[in-house]
Amino acid sequence: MGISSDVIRGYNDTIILCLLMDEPSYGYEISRKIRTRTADAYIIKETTLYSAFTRMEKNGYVESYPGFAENGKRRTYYRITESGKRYYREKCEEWKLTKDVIEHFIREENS
Amino acid sequence: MNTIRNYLESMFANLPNTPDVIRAKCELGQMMEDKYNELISEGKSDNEAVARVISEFGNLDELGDALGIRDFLNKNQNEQRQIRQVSAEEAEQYLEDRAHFSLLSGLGTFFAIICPCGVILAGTSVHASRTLMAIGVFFLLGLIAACITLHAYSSLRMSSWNFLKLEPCSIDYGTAGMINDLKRSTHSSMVLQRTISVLLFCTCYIPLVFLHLMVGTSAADGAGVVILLFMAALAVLILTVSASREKGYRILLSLGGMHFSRQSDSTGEVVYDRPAVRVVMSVFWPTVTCLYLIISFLTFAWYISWIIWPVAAVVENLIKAIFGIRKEEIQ
Repeated sequence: MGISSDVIRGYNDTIILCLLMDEPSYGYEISRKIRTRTADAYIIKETTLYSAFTRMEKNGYVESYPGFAENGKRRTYYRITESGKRYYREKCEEWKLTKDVIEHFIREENS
Repeated sequence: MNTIRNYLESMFANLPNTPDVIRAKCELGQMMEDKYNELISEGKSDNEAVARVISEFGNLDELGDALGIRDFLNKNQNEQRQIRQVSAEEAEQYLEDRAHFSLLSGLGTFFAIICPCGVILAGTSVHASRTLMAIGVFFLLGLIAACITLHAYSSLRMSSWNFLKLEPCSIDYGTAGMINDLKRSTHSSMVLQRTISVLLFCTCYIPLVFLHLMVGTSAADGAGVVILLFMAALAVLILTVSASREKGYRILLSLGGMHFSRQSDSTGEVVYDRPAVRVVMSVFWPTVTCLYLIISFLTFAWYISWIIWPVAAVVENLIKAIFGIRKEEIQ
């Protein structure tokens, strides 16, 4: 069973911000880290990733700056801002609450 | 990598050229290139890597808000909704159905060609009798009935796919790639099938000539004709099935937009706007076959009656040239 993109949509930003907390990064690296960290359970679409970047940049959670790849190609890097870190912590709290609420209604079908 | 670049170009082809859009295109292109390069370095084949990258690209819809082109996308979507999307499963099902029912209708044709065998054997047998002839005629009528039933049944079942020809349809990039791969991988077997059927056609006279020269009795001649008919029928069956499969690929690929249809020769497709001509042309080759068999059996002028085939081909091309309209001209 694949992951539902409807459910995860609200937390794409959180996932990306979490990875940017470690170090600044660029588009594909983030997408790869998401894939490896979730053991291929969640593969983020390029368009989803890009729209998340632009949205968060507009909201001031991340900043983009031009950088260079190993082969000398230009690449857009993203780093997290202070307001981004605050937003990330808020989202973490929100998730814990959400998870607790939903947990109450998840029944293991053992019997 | 070119395929990916073309794909991205085609996705963005209809969008306005604002700085935001151009930036998005560059960024997405960069991400796709990175992913492609990594997949290649992991040892994936070019095809696999392209398919993965394209299937994981996502939907341009999501960029609507990011690029400030939401209105534009919505408007576009209303136009696009008129076009029926054919999914990969549907395409596969279509090819499967096509193979299945072309085999059935091919069998129908097979029966039609061998149907006079009973009569021939009864007529040339040394024990020729009315009973034997009656059995032969029964055999003939039964096979004709089977032929008509098979043809009618398979064209009825295939008619559920008529929308592929009548409505504007399209297939997505991944599906087109899959079909293209399939087409390429079956290419050699199709060439083989064609070669076998041509060989059968070329050699089907040999047993008849051989039997006639070596044995010379009318029973042997009858048996020779029967073998001839069986070989010709088998050749037609193989040819029908393989041509139908190829046509299936062509029809599907012609829906796939510019990238794949270019290499297919969809220009050969001709339609007729006059209903009478359309009806006549839909039964053209079966009619010619019947004429050929009837004339040949009535006159036994096998040595000359083959002339019907080239004449028929010329007539068909004439009709095509006079009444036919190329498909693209309509669209």
